[in-house]
Amino acid sequence: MKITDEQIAYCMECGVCTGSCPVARHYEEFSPRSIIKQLLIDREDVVTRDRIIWRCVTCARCSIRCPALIDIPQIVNRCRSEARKAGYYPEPSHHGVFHIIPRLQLRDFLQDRVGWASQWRVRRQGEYFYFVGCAPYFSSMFRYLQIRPLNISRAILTLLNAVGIEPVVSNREVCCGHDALWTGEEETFVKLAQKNVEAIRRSGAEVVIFSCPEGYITFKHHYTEALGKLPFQVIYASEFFMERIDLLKRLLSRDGEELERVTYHDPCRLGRLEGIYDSPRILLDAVPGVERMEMERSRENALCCGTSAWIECSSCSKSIQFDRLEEASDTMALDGSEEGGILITSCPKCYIHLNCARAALPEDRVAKKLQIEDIYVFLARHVTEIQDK
Amino acid sequence: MSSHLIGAVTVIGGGISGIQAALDLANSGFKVYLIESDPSVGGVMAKLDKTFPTNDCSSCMMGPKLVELANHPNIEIFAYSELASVSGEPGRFEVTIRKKARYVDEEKCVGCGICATKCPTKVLDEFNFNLRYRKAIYVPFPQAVPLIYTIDQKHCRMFTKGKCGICQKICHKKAIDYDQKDLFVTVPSGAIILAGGYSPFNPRVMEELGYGRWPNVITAIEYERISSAAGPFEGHILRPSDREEPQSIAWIQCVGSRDLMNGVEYCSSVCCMYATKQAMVTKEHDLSVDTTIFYIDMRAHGKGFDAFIDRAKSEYGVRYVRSRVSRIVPDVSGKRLEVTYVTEDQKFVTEPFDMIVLSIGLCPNPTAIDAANILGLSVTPHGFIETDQFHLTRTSRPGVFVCGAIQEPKDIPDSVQQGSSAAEEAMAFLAPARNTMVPVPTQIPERNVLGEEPRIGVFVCHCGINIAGVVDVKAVAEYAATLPNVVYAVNCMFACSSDQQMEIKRVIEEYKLNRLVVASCTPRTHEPLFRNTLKEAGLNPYLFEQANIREHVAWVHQQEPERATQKAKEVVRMSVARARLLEPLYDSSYEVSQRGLVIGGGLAGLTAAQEISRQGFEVILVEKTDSLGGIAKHIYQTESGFPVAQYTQELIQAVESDPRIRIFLNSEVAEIKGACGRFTAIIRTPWGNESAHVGAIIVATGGTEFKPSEYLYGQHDSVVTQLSLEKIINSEPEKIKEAMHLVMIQCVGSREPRRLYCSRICCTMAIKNALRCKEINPSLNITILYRDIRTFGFRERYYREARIKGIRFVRYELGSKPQVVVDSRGTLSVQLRDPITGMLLSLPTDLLVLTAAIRPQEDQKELAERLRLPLDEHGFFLEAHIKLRPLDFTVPGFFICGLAHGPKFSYESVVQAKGAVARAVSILSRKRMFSDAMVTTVDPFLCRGCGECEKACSFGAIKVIDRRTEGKGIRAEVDPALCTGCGACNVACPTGAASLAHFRDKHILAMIESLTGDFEGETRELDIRGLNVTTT
Repeated sequence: MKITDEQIAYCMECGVCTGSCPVARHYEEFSPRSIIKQLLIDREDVVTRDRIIWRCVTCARCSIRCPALIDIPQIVNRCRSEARKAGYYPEPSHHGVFHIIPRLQLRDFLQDRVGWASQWRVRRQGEYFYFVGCAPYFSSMFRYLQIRPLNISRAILTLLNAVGIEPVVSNREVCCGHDALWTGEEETFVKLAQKNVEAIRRSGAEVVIFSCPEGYITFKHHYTEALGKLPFQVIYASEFFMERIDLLKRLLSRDGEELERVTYHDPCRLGRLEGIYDSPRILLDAVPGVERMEMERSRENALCCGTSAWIECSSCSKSIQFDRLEEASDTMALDGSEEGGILITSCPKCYIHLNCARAALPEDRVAKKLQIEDIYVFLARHVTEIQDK
Repeated sequence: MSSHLIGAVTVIGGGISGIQAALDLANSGFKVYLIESDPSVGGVMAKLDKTFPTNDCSSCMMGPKLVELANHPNIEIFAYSELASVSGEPGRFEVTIRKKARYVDEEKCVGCGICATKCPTKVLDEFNFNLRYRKAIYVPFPQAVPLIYTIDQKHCRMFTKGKCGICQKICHKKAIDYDQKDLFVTVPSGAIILAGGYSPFNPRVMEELGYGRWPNVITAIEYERISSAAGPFEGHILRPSDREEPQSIAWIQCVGSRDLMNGVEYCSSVCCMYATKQAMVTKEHDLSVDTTIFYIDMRAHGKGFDAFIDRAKSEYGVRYVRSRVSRIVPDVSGKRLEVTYVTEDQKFVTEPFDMIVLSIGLCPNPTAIDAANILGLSVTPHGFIETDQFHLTRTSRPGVFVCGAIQEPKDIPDSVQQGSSAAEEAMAFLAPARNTMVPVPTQIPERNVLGEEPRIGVFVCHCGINIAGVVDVKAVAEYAATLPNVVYAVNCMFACSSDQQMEIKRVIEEYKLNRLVVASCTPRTHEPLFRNTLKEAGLNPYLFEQANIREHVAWVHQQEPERATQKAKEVVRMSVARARLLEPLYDSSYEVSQRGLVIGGGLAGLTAAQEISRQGFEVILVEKTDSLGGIAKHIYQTESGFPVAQYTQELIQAVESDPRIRIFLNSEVAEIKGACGRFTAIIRTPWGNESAHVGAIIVATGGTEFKPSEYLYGQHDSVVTQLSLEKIINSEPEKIKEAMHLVMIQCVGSREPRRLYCSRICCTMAIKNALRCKEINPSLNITILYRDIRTFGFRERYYREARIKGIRFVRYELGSKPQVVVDSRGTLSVQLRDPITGMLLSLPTDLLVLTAAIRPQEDQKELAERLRLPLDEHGFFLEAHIKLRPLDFTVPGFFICGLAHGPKFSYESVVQAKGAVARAVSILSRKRMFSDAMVTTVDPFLCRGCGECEKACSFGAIKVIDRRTEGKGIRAEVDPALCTGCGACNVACPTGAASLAHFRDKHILAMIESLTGDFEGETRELDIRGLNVTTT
């Protein structure tokens, strides 16, 4: 999808975008259709001189359904750059910690980002590079929710080691720049991209593995756009493990536990923006004793986790999240089961947001019983130790 | 009449009690002249290290009060001054104050301290009890208010030798004036409050204790300075003789208290607790130090005190020995001190200690007694101020009131509440003259800076040499000038001096500044000054930002001036970054309902209602039962003979006929809505609900006598409680006449493991009733079985009198309570073992009197939940701060007095009730309440109603409210009147919906980013786990 004025002009004001929009559903003033319309009538200033442009969650539910193939998230993003230039900033959630960290990473700080990985077999140089992403920061920030997103990275190392891979993890890695890119900070984004590419190049890696969908699409598409062809391949973890499914299947086991009922939540970056829907599901199905159910809104129709790029988390976000949790809960309780089940996602941010919402759910709601788990943590939980063999 | 009253009050004494009185008066529309004989205010509390029972830092606690005092527009402080004479009559006194010559011009001195650093003369420092030196020009302590230097004429070379003059040469402000003379100032005052405080007992007269002879025998107040971080040993507990750490310390109680031999009959009330605190603090410094307290009776009669002692024993291992030490001498090595004492079972023990602390008593302050003589006040034989029997703040002279330790030895909370109480008496006396002597703030039109590009002015302060001695202030100013949006930057000697304020205003005008940054000291003390300067310059006062390059830079980096200068630049850069984003803020205000609500119609409630009315305000009195008077109707007289019940009856009549008081009997407060100054109370009356608008609420719901469940109470007719005995004495005295034996058991229901509190009044009450019984029947055998006798303060004299009259006292331990037995003829006797003789006693008794505990009202918990007020662990109402806010609830606009707060004497309830009124009147006397602009606001879109803010708020100021029925969502809402602007909710809020003006994420992030913005080529390696931060 290329963004051109022409493409906007194709808009037939059908309103499927606004109708599909999870934000508009809860916040009437927000409408993708109006945004497009404003742009069409050359009132870009109305869009960019207002905080409204920051309220989009860029989930692409609109664009994937747009009959005119308008890439609304990209248009929103372009407007955001303009808005920022005009001095209209988003409201950072969590006090802007996640926006200032990348900016600070551009200074000459060298952080210890990999101390936690010492229990696994990792390297400084090698063929595979595991891009850890923000999980270490998330783990610190979200202690109040009693969750440890860094366990996702730990699980990835367990899985990689299990399939015989000793990846590089690096102190020189910085933020992928996804959020900078999506909040109109192009300059920051480009600098981060350069730092990452350089760090990976110096490690000698040929393949970079991502567990975070955002990092993956940012590298795959936006790095290439900004810096040209990358000196390495990028691959998303579920795809990577899919390629080794036979080996993995031999390691996956279940020792006497009860069956687990799961449902998979498609992250927007991995799903709608990248089209990876199947490999996570295949991996889940490979675990013995898993009963996987499908939510009504899944794959292309999946519902957003409520917020994106750590901005404008709001009452809308909460409504969206509650909606999603109820859906997951209802799906897994179709036969009247009271167990709650496991809502599985493959994006650390979805994981955090859904957990946050569940914490805020009233005690008497059935969805409160849901477990929320990252796919790799779930898989690693079922991997038998084979290192001895 | 009113035209003749003067709306100003002179407060003599600047200790905590006087400070409280001054603040309450000033906040209620009265001009205050505060006289302090020392160079600075603060009194004894400023010298203390920590205070019990919370072990908080004393001067830190006091700091905010001192700052408020120093900056209050209605208070004029005359420090280093004394009362010279008083003329006129009550309501129209002329008070002449002698301002002693400081030889320093108060108008010019800015307290920079250069003079003291250069002064060549060292003098023993009396503030630190001569344990270290100060200079001949000095301030007593660094946080002194007022911060003005004083020349010690006795030691200054200019006065002793006629030459030197260094301070005069070096003072940039030309403040030194060797020819200064005492100055006499006369101020008009409607009333006078004497808050003269105490001076410590001089233990030299007790030679057996060796004070003054053995250097390691010190007084408790000296020990406060020794353990204080700001003291002579910088917080290390060392022996004065050899500066070594003592491994064992003993405290000797009752030195100069309860000791007629040395002319002191009374108990000093506070020593048991401060010794316990000091032992605990010692253990906190070093757990291995042995701490022993030698005592007679452990007097832990205040709120939370028994639990505190229990903690000292069980958690800290403080040893308590019930014995008065007989001798202290050095051991053979001469290094340690041998303490000789006798144990309860008659064993002689000689035990060595490294250091001895004498728990010295409280004596009247001689300066205060001088003032009392000038005022013509009656003084007690012990030299304290004589007061009305029941109204303890009223002196023998109308219009002159008293508070604090000069009235009777007392601890900090009692001094604070008495300070409020004396202020209330003065205000009530002068009510018609309220607001006649206080300045009316002038309004200066404010320049609109919205839409202007930031134009920032930066003033970098030398603070004499405090900053400039370390930091290159000129370089900092030059650097500041290069920062974006800075249009003016300069360094100046004292940013806070009054001529500099003129200069700042001129610069604002000339350079059209719209933001001001001052790089100097702490905003805690100086922000109000600079904000005011902005206001006078026609700018919104919130367009100000202060960078602290003194405490945060110069003082902590004295050894590395270059890096300090670099840091100062960075600190200024951060402040400029933030200043750029400052916006004008406006305080909001609302109208006050100038009417009080008193809940509870007992003695405290009646007093509160009457006093609010005397202050000129309407009041609503709500009483749950069908009659007023409460438990006071059953107290026939106090230990001094004051007829409480009769007084209460008269008070009821007065209240009932007061046109400003509306009484609701058989009624309860069902709900309170709104906030401080504009509450709506829903009162449930027999005829339905009524609602009333009130500005302040006093909770005086009282307490009740515990109904015992032991000692055959309720099973045998001759087992009664003290209240019943009091009734018998007054209505059936023949029963006492006929009796031969009477036994009283103390602490029934008090000081038990689950009720670990003392009911405070029981010892005195038992002794009072025992003495009355003896009056009626002199041959009656009375035995009082007790655990510790707690007749604190002047009540000690009744204990002595009881012993003189032949009343017997036998002690028992909690583990071996007396046994009550009934023989076949139904006669009662009590059996216990006397710990001193070891004998098993069997005491026959005609009447067994149980001194039952005071409990909170049974429905207190329900009431607390209804009004959302906090209770302590025993179910009494919990005050906002146990030391300094004993009459306030944490919830603004609510005040507490009487038994609902904790056990106390009837006259103490009266003191508290009046004090609570003083606190309430500081609200009721305002037409409008102003709420600070520094309060949290909630963005309704961003708010997800998660409730994290509500969990974080300590003030109940932010709540998630479901407004779905009104077509809105579930959102957090802030009550600006309750919000203190602490920012806790901002931190908790994940979305940024809750934010505090000028402390928004953007301000903080701008500072963080600007900090890391410029490293001049340095590379730093930062370990996020904080393990190894290195600089390369």
